[in-house]
Amino acid sequence: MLKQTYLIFQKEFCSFFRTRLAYFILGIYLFLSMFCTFYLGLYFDVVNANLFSFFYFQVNILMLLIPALTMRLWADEYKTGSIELLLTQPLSCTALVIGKFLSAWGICLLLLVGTIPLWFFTSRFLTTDNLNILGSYFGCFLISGCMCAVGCMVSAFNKSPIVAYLASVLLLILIIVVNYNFVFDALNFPGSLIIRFTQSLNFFYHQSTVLNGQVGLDNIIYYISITVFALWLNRITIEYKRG
Amino acid sequence: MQKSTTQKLQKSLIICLFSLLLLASFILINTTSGALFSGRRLDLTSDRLNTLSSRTEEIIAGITHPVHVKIYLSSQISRQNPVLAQYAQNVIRLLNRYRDKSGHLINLEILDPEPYSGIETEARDAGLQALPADGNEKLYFGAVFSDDKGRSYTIAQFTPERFSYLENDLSRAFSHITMPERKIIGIASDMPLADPGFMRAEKAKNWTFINLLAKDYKIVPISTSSAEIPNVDVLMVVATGKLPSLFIYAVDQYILRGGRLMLLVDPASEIKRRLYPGIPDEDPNFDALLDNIGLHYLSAQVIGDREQAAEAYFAVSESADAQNHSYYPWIKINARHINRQSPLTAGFDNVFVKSAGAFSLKNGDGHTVESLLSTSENALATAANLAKFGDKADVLRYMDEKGQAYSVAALSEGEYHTIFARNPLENSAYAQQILPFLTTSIAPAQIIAIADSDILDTRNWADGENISDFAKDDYNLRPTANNFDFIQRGIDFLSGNPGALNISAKKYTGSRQTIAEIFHQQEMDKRKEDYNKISSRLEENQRKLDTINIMLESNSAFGTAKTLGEIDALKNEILNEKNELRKIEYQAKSEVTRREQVIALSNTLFIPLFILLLVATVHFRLSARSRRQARRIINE
Repeated sequence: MLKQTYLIFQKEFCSFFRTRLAYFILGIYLFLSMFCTFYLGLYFDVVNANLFSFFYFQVNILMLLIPALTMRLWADEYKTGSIELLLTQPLSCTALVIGKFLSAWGICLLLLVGTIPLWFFTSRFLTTDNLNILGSYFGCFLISGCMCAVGCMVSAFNKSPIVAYLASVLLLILIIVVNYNFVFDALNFPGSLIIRFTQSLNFFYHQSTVLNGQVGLDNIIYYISITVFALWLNRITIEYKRG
Repeated sequence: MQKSTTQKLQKSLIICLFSLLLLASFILINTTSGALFSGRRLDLTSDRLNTLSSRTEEIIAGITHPVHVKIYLSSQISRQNPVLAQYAQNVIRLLNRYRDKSGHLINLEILDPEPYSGIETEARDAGLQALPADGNEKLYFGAVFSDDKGRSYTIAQFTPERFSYLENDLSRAFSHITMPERKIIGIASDMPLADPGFMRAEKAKNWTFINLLAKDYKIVPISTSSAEIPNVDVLMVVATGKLPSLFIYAVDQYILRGGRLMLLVDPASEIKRRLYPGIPDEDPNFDALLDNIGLHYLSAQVIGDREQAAEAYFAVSESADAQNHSYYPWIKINARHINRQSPLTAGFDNVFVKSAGAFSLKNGDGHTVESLLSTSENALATAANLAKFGDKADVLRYMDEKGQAYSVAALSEGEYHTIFARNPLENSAYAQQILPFLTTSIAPAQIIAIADSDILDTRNWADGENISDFAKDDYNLRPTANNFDFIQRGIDFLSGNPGALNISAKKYTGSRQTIAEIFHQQEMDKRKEDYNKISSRLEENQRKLDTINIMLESNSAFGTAKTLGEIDALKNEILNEKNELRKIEYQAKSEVTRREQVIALSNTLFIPLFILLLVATVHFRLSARSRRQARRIINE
C-alpha cells in the first residue's frame, strides 16, 4: 500500500507543476504573505522576534489558498471521467485518498519553506526566537494538513472544481473563524464546562497556542483528529462511488 | 431495481451513522485530551516565556475559592496600537495558563470598554488608566482581580515595557487576592519620602518606590523624633544625614524586640541633593548600630569600582570637552557580585548604586551576616565630602585603592545587645509611657542594611517616556536594573509575606525592540557626533539662561539692558539648537521610512519572484533529466 500511496503522491505532486497550479499558488501565497507581513502586520513596528507579523495572517491566507490546491484533486477526475479509470486500477481507496492528500500537503510544505528567507532576513536585524519560530512553522504545517484534508474531502463530493473551492472555503470558515460559544451559552451549560468545550473544539484556541510557542498533546490530537476525520469521510465517499 | 435502491439507502444510512459516530468520537477525544493535556504544554519559546515559575504555581495552588479577572481591553487598540494589541495577546495567553493551572478557579472575562459605555465607567471607577488615543477616544488595557469576599486588586495598565515583569505583576495580583491582610511597613527618613497624610491627600508626593510598595502593603510614615517604633511589620529607615539619637534608641530597641528592619545609610546621597538641596548634608550616625549587627561601616567614605563602573558625562579637565567616562563611584553591580544563593537576590542581573558607602562583615555572637551585593576585589574609596561637593574629575583623581571587596548590602539575622550603656530616657516622665528598656534581644531580628539611598532613585533603575520621581504606578517604567526588585523582595522577605517573592523578571534573549527602533537607533548613531555636540551646546546655554534667571529673581538690579540682551541672544540660540536637533531627528526618521519602504517592496515583489524562478529552474532541470532518461530508454 505504501508503494501505491507513493505512486499516487508522485503523480499528483508532479501534476501540480505540470498544470502550473503550483507556481500560481506559490506566487500568490508568497505575495500575500509578504504583503500582509509588511503592510498589514506592521512588520517594522511590532516586536517580531517570533515573526508575529508573518504568522498572524498565515491561517487566513492558507484558508483561501489551500482549497485552490485541493479543489481539482477529485473534482477534476469526475469532470474528465478519469475517475472511472482510476477506480478500476488495482489501487486501494486508502492509498488513493492518502496519496492525493499528501501531494497537496507536500505543496503546502513547499509554500512554507518558501517563506524561510524572511526568517533569515529578520535575524539579520533582531535576535530571533528560533525555537518559537520553528514551533510556529510546525503549527502552520499541521494546520495546513487539516485544511488539505478538509479540501480533499469536499472535492470528493463535487464534480465542479469551482464549487469544490467555494464549498471548502466556506467549510473552513465555519471551522476556523466562527466562534461557537453562543451555542453553549444558549444551551445554558455550566461555566467551566463551556470553557472546556469551547477551548477543546475551538480552532482559534489551538491555533493561537501553537503559533505562540506552546505545543501541547491536545493541539496535536486536535489537528490529527480533524485530518483523520476528513480523510475517512473522503475514503468513504470514494468507496461509495466505486460501489 | 427496488432492491438496489434499498441497498443504496441502507448504505447511505450506515455511512451517515458512521459519520455521526465519528463526529461524536471527535468531540469526545478532543474534550478528553483538552481536559487531560491542556495544563501540560511544551514551551517552545527559547526563554521559557510561557512557563510559570514554581512560586507562581504555589500561589495558584493557594487559590481555594473563585477569583474573577475582568480584563478591560478596548477593541480599538488593535487598530491604533499594534504593539499593545500584540502584547494583549501575550497577557491573555498567560492568564489562560493561570486559569488552566488553577483548575478553572480563575474566571477570565474580557470586556470592551467602548467610549461612554457603562463598562468604560466601571473600568474608570476600578482605577484603570486610559491610554492616549486618536481624537477624544480613550483606550483601556488593564485588569481587575476580585473574589467573592470583596477583595480586589487593579492593574491600572498593562504596558509592553513591563513584558519581562508580566508574570511577577500577575502573580502579585493573585497573591494579593489570596493574602489574608496587608502587612504594615513603617518608613522613617531625614528626607520627606512619604507625605505623612498621603493615604488621604490627593496631591501628596510620595517617592515612586513607596507608591509601588503601597500596592501590596500599608505604608505608615514614622517620625524620626519618635522614641519608640510603633507596631509595624517592617521598619524601613533611609538615613542620608544625622538622625536624632532618641530615634536611634528606638531603632535599637525595635531590633532587640525581634523587629524586621531595612536600613539604608548613605554617606553621599545624590538624590537628596537633586530633590532636596535645602536639607543640610551631614554624615549618618548609624555607625555604632551597624557595628553592633555585624557590619563595620566605612564611615564618611564613598566606594568605587573600576570593574563595575557605570558611565557619566563630564569633562576630565577644564580644557577637555565633556564626554562619557567611567565614573567609579557609580557602580552597576553585576550578577558576578550579587549573591545568587540568597533568595533576596537570586536571579538578579544588576543593581545600580551611586556614591554608595560600604560595609565589611563580621559575624558576631548570636547573629550571622551575609553579603548580598558587593564590589569587585579591587574596590576604591574616597572621602564622602569630595563626592558630595567636588566635581567628578576630582573624585576620580582622589580615589584610593583599597585592595579588597566591600559589601554594599548585607543581611544580618539573629540576636544582639543594645548599643546604649543605659536607658537614655531613664528618670524622664516619658520612660513610663513606652516599652521598658532592653539590654539584649528577646527575639531574633532580621536586618537588611544597604549603604546607599540612590538605589531608590527611579532614574537609576527604570527607563520610560514619562519617568518621574513620584510616579504613582509602574506602567510608565521600564526596569533597567533590579533595584526595586531588591527592595520589594527585601520587604517581602522581612514581612514574612511570601507574596511574589522569587518571581524574578523573565530574561528574554530575543530582541524586544522593533525593527523600526533598531533602524532609528542606527540612523541616530550615524548622526551621534553632531547630535551630542548640539545637545551639549543646548545644555550649556540652558544652564547659562537658568543662572541669569536665578540671579535676576534674587536681585532685580541685575536686570540691565545688557543682561536682557544676553537673555534674548541665549533664547535665540536655544531655539536654533532645538531646531537643529529636530532637523537631525527628522532626517533620521526620513531615512528609516525610506529603508522600510525599500525592504517592504523588495520582500513583497522581488523575493517571491526569485523563489518562483528558483522552483521553476529546479522543476525544469528535473523534467529535462526525466526526458533525457526517457529518450535514452526509447533509443536503447
